[in-house]
Amino acid sequence: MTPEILTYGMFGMLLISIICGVSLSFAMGGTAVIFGYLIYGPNGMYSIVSAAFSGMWSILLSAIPLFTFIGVALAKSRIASDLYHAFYLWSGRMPGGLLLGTSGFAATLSAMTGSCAASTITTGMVGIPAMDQRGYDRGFVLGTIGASGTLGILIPPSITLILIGMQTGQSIGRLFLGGMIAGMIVLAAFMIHVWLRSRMNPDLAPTIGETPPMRERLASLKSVILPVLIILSVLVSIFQGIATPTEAAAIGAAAVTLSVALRGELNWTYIKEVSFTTASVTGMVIWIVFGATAFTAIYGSGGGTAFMQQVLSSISSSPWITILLMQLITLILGMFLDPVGIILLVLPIFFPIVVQLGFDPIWFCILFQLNLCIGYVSPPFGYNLFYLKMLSPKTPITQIYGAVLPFLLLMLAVGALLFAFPQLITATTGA
Amino acid sequence: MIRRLIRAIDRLNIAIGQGVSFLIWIGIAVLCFEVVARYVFDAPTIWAHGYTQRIFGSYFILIGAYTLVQRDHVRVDILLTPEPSRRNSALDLINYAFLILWGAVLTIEGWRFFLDAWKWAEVDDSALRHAMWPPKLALFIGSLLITLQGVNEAVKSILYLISPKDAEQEAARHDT
Amino acid sequence: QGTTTWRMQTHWPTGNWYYEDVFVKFCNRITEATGGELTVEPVQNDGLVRTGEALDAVRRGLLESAFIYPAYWIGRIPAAAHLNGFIGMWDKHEEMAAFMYEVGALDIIREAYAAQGVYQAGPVSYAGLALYSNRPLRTTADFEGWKVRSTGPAADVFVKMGATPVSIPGAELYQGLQTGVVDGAHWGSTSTGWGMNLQEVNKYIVRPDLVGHLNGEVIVGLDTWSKISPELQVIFNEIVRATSADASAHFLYRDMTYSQQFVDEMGGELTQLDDEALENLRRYSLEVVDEYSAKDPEYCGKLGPMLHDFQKLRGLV
Ligand code: NA
Ligand code: NA
Repeated sequence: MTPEILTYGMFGMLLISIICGVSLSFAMGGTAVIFGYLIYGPNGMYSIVSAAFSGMWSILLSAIPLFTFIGVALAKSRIASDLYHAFYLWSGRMPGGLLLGTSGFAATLSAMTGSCAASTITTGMVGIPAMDQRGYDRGFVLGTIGASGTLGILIPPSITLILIGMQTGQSIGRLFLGGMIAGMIVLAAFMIHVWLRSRMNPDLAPTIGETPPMRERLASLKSVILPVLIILSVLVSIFQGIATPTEAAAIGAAAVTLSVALRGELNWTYIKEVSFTTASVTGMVIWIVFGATAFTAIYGSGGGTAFMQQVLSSISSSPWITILLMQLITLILGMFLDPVGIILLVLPIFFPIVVQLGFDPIWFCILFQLNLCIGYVSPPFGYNLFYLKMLSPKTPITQIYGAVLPFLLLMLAVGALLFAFPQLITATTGA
Repeated sequence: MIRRLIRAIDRLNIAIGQGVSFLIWIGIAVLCFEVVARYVFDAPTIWAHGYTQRIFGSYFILIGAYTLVQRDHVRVDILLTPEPSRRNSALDLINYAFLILWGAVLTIEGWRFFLDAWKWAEVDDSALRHAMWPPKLALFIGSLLITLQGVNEAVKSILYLISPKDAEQEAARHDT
Repeated sequence: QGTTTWRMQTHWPTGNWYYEDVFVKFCNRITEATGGELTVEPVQNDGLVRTGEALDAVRRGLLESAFIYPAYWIGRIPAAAHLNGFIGMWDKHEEMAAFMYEVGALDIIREAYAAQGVYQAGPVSYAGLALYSNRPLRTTADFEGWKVRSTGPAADVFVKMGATPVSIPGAELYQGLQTGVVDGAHWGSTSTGWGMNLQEVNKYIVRPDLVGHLNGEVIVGLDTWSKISPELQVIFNEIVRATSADASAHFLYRDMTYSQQFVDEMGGELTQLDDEALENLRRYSLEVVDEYSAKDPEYCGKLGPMLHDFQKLRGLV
């Protein structure tokens, strides 16, 4: 099978089956099985099971159920609603106040964890019910949360930046610095967008009618101070080197349980609901990882990498076009594949060319990383899209695609900005 | 008769899934214990991370079938209708065909995977050197359960295609 | 006569200098030496199968061969620990080669691999085991309570030294060192640890290396191996041996230049272990060797006594 046929075949089958309503996980797994068989015969089936087991055995994935647990446990207790009530009273007449706070909350979680699970799931679980109650537009809320959640891998620490560093031999410290700059620009773009849109169309994010009395505002703080203190102190402890991010997620889960207990809300029904919901949400995400790993393994080993090489060498004329083309390939792959797969698949081809052409390697890696972030929200396949679907099960996935689109365009614009002005990154990360 | 079998399989997977869902509490406890042991008592364990890996690995694979019963494996709903229909059932059949194909491969290869680990007494690479067959057995069982549930759902879809009315009555009777 | 093509997968990421300089060069060397009769195609890390599954893939013929690391299979083939190298067992490349080829340890290791359906072509030196640390380690007492990211037999030795091995995933290692979840780590030699950016988050590199040569390996499926002519087999084995000596020199030189860079440009410090600490490390390591012998009498049970004798020959026991 030639690399072209493999590429069109695998992505074609994936796209058609997804449109026919095949679960993303099964579509990826099934496609991998069919093409694995076509290429290697029965022997190829070993890659499928090996891919599933490598997902099971990856201790990094433990962060997903743990952060889901934190989100579910907060959302099912009254801590979340109290928190947002307090924030609502304090944010006053700021257009889109709660959404700006939500973006900030997602960025804060991003600065403490290395994946998008916490920044998206936890933020969504806590924020959506509260903003619904205050008449915020559901699509606007989902778009903001889904997009802000991608900061999880852009703002350091970041698992993907660490992988990029390992794959390219670049300094992780400098990659983190570049990620931080890009992350701040993206966050600023999101916040300006939210603020402007809420200002132009107040129905999307209704503000409080009049400023409530100080007494009421102070009273609202009382009920949230304990949980906020417990949760914050735990997350900050990552910076103190008390725990690895995975361990900190577990501590966070225990701390939330503790604060729910202190508020007298812990009972058997609550425990069951939290456990069951966490399980089915985790099942959704992890089984997509199983499918995506199998898909990437078969595509990569079947010569997908060779196809990328062909495309690059056939079109590229000037160095800048080559770099642009690389970003384009990453964006297209980001529509379908998971970020770790993309890193393994194309970075080994791209990076030597980038160095050879004399571009700043850190700058390139950050652009690449930003495109991976876009992949989290670009249809049809993106983890944050699925997180949003899980957070808001009744919203059709097509509406979720639409909700993130403005933010996706903003991220593309930031990418273009960094592409046009490399010194935004290199001025700080340069040796 | 066949409908009773269908419900029995649903109930089996719900029961197993709900049972497995409590594993997360053990995972949390183990990780917290490790942090306290290391940070407070300066005595990290050699088993905490290895056990976490086993607990969550088994959890991941075993909750797949439960997620399916709960209809939580995300689908794109461009062609799906909001209410049950023959079109939905036909599309469901395609969905489950993909699952059964993948699941069958995972089950069969998972069994060989487990047998290899068992036969060669494979152990993990941590200082614990515990046997590798239990998580590989979980891989087999989890794959078997989700494949079984996939077949179960496929049969439901076929029954609906044959006679939508009967299927809807049946669903209404057991939804409450 | 026809030509044979083998795909050979490594566990090294392509971004590391040694991917080209050692691995790709090895593949090309075989292709050239056999005039293309045996063509070896290099495959990057996780390219065809996940690294951890490469042994099975080679056995089943899904992948013809791998240029990889014995430590991954210690759980399946305890004798792989002898191939990889225990702490303190040899300093010079010739000593390592003497144990493998002259004492005959490699023959037994090959039997152990053959039982798994895999041909073991031989060790390829990846240079020494270098400790990166945020705590100066000079005496045995300095190891007390030292939190080090470590696995396998090295971790067992550190436990006996009073240190506490922590097994955190590779992707969380950088941050773990940065925040102090662990105070040290080893990732192969000074130069391979450099590839993990350990120099950015550690203040000290411990001298000397705890073992002079940690070995990689070249493995081929037994069926695949039996299908090439004896002449090709001989050439293949010769190139493995030659590559080991070359790689040793390559890594050693990089180790030296990186160490210098660590001190001159990064403000790092090289600390020296005293003789007592080194002796303790060797003694505890032999205890670990004995534990392996007890657990796997068939192969380690033969290799362990060989290693004891070899240490006596070196005048160290
Ligand atoms: Na982050
Ligand atoms: Na995407």
